[in-house]
Amino acid sequence: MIKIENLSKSFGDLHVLKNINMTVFESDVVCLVGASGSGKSTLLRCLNFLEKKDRGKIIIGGKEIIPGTDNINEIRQRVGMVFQHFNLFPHKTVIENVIEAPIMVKGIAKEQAIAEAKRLLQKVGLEDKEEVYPSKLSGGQKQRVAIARALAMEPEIMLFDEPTSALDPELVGEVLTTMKELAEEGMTMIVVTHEMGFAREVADWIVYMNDGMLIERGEPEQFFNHPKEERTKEFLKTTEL
Amino acid sequence: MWGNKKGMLLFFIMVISLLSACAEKEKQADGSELIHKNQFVFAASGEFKPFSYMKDDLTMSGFDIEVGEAIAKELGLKPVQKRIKFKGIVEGIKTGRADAAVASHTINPQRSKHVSFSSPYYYSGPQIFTRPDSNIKSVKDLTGKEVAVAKGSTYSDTASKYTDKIKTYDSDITALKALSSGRHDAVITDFVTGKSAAKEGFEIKGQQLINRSEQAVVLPQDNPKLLKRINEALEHLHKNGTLSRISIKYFGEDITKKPE
Amino acid sequence: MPSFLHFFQILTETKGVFIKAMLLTLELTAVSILIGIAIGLFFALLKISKVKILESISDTYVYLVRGTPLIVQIFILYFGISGIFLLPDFWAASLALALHNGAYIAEIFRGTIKSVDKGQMEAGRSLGMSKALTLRRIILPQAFRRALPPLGNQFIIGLKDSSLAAFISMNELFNVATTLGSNNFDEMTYLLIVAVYYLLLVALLTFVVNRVENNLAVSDR
Repeated sequence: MIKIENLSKSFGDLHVLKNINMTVFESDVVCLVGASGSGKSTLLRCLNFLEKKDRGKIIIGGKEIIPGTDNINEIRQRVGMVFQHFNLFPHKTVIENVIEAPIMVKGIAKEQAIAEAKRLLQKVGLEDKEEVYPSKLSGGQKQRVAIARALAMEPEIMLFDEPTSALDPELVGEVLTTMKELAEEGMTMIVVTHEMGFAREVADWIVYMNDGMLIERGEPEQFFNHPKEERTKEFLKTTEL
Repeated sequence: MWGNKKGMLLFFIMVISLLSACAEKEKQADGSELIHKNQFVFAASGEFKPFSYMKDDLTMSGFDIEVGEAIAKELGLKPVQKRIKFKGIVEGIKTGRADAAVASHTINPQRSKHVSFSSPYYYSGPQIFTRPDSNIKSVKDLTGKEVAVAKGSTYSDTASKYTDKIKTYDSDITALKALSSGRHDAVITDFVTGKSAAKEGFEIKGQQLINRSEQAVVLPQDNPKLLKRINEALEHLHKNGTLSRISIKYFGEDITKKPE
Repeated sequence: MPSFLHFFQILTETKGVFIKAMLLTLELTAVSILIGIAIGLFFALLKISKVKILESISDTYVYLVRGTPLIVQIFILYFGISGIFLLPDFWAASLALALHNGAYIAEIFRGTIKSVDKGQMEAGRSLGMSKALTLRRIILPQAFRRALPPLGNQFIIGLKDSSLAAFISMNELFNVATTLGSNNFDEMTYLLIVAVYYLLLVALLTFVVNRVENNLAVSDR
């Protein structure tokens, strides 16, 4: 579904992604783990072209995506993203947040968009918060709205950029639960996270990055219990598991 | 937000007191008062060519200025020009910002309630000015038309007799400039001023000469001795031809002699 | 020395004339601010367009307008271009005011647009919205709300700037005050009276702006 070939990117002198090669199949849940600065978020953001790659290929659904030639706005309709800091639209209510893109981008009729939004909000457990403004929500609630908002565009893939890192510990669970349900429904997901428990439980693949390079990739069982690389072992020591 | 009501009142009182403070004057040997000993401080607007206008060095020149200087010479005093916007001159005289004003003030009853006038130093009159293609010929044609005048001039009173559409500018010259560039229907100002402006290229034409007026030096009412001295000076300047000379220099004709 | 009785007497007597002038002052200010907001928004967008030529145009406009006195700009529009085209006095004044205020408003908008979190644009784009769409639906509404306090301030400045229209013979508050003042040889009383009217207008404006701000703050983050 997504294939990354020889992806490289630098920010000025800083070489952030070094020749990344990775394949994600449909319905895969991939967790990207690693220390801060390892390039995980940058990699994720290259996939929906929020960051511009320097070299390499990004192939979605079998077709290489070339910015300039291809309509990136259309690509982004297929690739949803959930941000660490939610980025909800503060001047719109919860439901308005969710229906905004479907109406404005896809041209869906308002009643239809509202009906679908209600369904999604119910799915994430926030149907009673429709008319509320984001400022009145807790962090966990905001993130669930953000998930509903991204899902409203019916993406093929969902990217999660440290979705729970900005949350108070007691609010993390509700978001992870939502993500888990999404995974069980078969959504293709790439998640940058520090939540090892979630990774272990939900992921199909764990990918460990360090210093811009893809160090190791493995199924949870193998990754956590029998890591192959030295650096992976070092990293796992620093986590709670 | 409104603060202390008493405080505001006190502030207003202070402001008003400060602003209406009158300048202290120096008493001369003959009982007349001057702001500064040995100086004759006279006011003009600098915006009423050719009576008063600004030179490049930012001093004023013109008919009124030369008359003021001639009067000072007669009084044995040093002439000092003071530029005040025309609309503020009468009040300026009242509050002692100048000893007198030589600024082409028409003698009229309303002004006479507040200040004293000398004997006339020239005779003139308000005239209607229009653009060359206008149908307005006399005051009858002014009904419903828009007339521009200078603030504080007798011309605005004159204009209000014939129309209620009056636009005011700080100077007659600006009013004439606006007229010339296509705005308003007419300007009422001194016939000499308009004539001079036309000569300088303003696209204007003189229509009816509305009436005759006498222009005099303005003094405060509380300085009768100075008034007497100025009248004596003026009589002298009339008799010895100085005023006529200055008039011919600026207008090519003598407007200082009373018309028949 | 003018008495307070005198002040209040004239204040009541001239009520009619001043209220009419006050309405004109308000009209001038309102029109110039509305047009000024459109102009300001336009040049702010040019400035953030990332197209060098457009940015320079915006910079030049702001530089010229902020660098010359408003009265000069009014005179240019009233007298200066009358050779080519005769602008009615109301439009000469309000356009000059609009252009003048517009330069400051452009800077206000530029600041508030920049102040909107980068994540907002990213969120919009990640949903497939184009840069222009995100700007229009997501960024600008937020930037506008944030601009309200400084815009309200600009409104008040514009109100006082409108007094310069007196110099092109418009019968707004300041002109009426100086005309009546010189006609009655009593400049000070009339200037104090007109100060009261301006204070009133500023108070009214401040109240309205606060109200608008509060209503829109419902959704504040």
